[in-house]
Formats: sequence, structure tokens, C-alpha cells
Amino acid sequence: MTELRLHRGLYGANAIDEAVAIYAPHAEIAREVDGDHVVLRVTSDREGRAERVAKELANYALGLTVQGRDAVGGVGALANDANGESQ
Amino acid sequence: MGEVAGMPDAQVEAEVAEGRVTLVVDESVYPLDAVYGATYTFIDRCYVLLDRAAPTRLRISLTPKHDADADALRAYVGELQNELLSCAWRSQIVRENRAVIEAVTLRAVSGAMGPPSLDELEDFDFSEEPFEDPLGIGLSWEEKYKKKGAADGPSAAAAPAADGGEERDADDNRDETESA
Repeated sequence: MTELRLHRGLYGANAIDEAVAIYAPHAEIAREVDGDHVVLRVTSDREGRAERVAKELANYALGLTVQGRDAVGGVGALANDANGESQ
Repeated sequence: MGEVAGMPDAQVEAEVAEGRVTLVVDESVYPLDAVYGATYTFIDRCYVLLDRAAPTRLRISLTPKHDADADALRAYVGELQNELLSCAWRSQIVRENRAVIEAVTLRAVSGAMGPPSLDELEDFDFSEEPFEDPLGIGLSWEEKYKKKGAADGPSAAAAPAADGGEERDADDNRDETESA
């Protein structure tokens, strides 16, 4: 079992929801709130899969959070500029 | 938990055995938007996790997706610090120029809305004063170069079309003389 703690002030709620929904088919994900954090407990029968899913889920949630801030007029465009992407 | 050579140990911690490096940054130096921008550029190479170490301090954990030794971790930290500085600077430029960007965008969007409708023209206030024209760009040739005496004199008001034609011919002749 791998525990992932995502700070609610740093990761968007919708981003976490969407990331969990995307990775739910790949592992069992239990979710609860602990103070400022959303705690995700990821389990899988396959060795190493839970840890991999947890890390990928965290990356996905961060990406969605940055893109969400970009969409509402934040300075998330900085990331796209830095990557040489254009929207 | 060890320190990374060349990096301040109060800010950078490395767990080489687990292939992970952690950087703690002050939010007053690197705003949250800069942290998002900088870390976003690493998610193709590393697993990135953000957390709050303190109310004004952010903890960034990078775990390379492929095996990395101490030198590789040090390179990742250095690259992240450079990216943080770059994004913080860009963030400040955006903040300072936000009003200009919004004004230019507003003009571009309003121009793209197309010509006004008849209803909008009907509501338009045509009594507004015309724009200032100190160089006389908006004046016709006749208004700009008419002779003062001819225009002000009583004969000018009653001058027939033929007189006006003679005046133009005289002006044309003068122009040709000047150009020669």
C-alpha cells in the first residue's frame, strides 16, 4: 500500500477528482481528508504498481492544477512558455 | 537524508538511495505561480510532489522516473532552481504589464467584433467634438491652401466657378515653377 498526501491548498479539488477517476481502473484507491491534505491510499496486487500509480496520479493532478489556473487567468501560462508550447 | 554538494543544506535534501531530492523554497522569493510553472516543466522526467513545509515555505520533491545517481540529482536540483528563477521573473513581468496586455487585448477583441449595427449607429453621439488636427491633415487641399485675401474678401464669397478655376491654374503654375 502506498500513501499519497496532496495538500488541498496546492492541488485543485477538481484536479484530484479527475486524476483519481483516471487512475482508479489501475489500482484500488481509497480517499480521505486529513486536515489540509487529501490522503489517497493506493493498493494493488501487482508488485510495485501501487507506488507507480500513486506517483503518476500526483503528476497528473499537478498538471491539471496548473492547467486549471491557466484557464482562469493565472500565470500558469509560464509553464507552457517554458516548454515552448503555445495555446 | 544527505546534503547535495554545492547546494545549501537548509534548502536542499537528497535521498540518493531512494533516488529522490527535496527542495524547500520561500514563497516570498518564489511565488506559487512560479513554483507551478517551474515544476510543470519536470513532470515528463520526474515524479513531482508539492507540499507545504511551513505557512510560507513550499517543499518540492523530485523523483526521477529513471535511475539517477547523486550527480544526476544535483543536476535536477540546479535545473529546478534556474527554472524557478526564470518563472519568478516572468511572473513579475506579467504582473507589471497586465494593464497594458489587457488594454491591447480589449482593443483587438473590440476591433474583431465587426462594424457597428444600425441600432448602435443610431445611438452614437455625433455631437462629440472632432479630434484635434494641429497639422491640418484632415483638411481638404482647398481649405488648406486657399488664399486668405481671396477667401476673406467680399469678392470671394460671390466668386463664380470660373474664378475658382483660374485660381487653381495660378496655383498649379506656381507649383510647377517651384518644382523646376
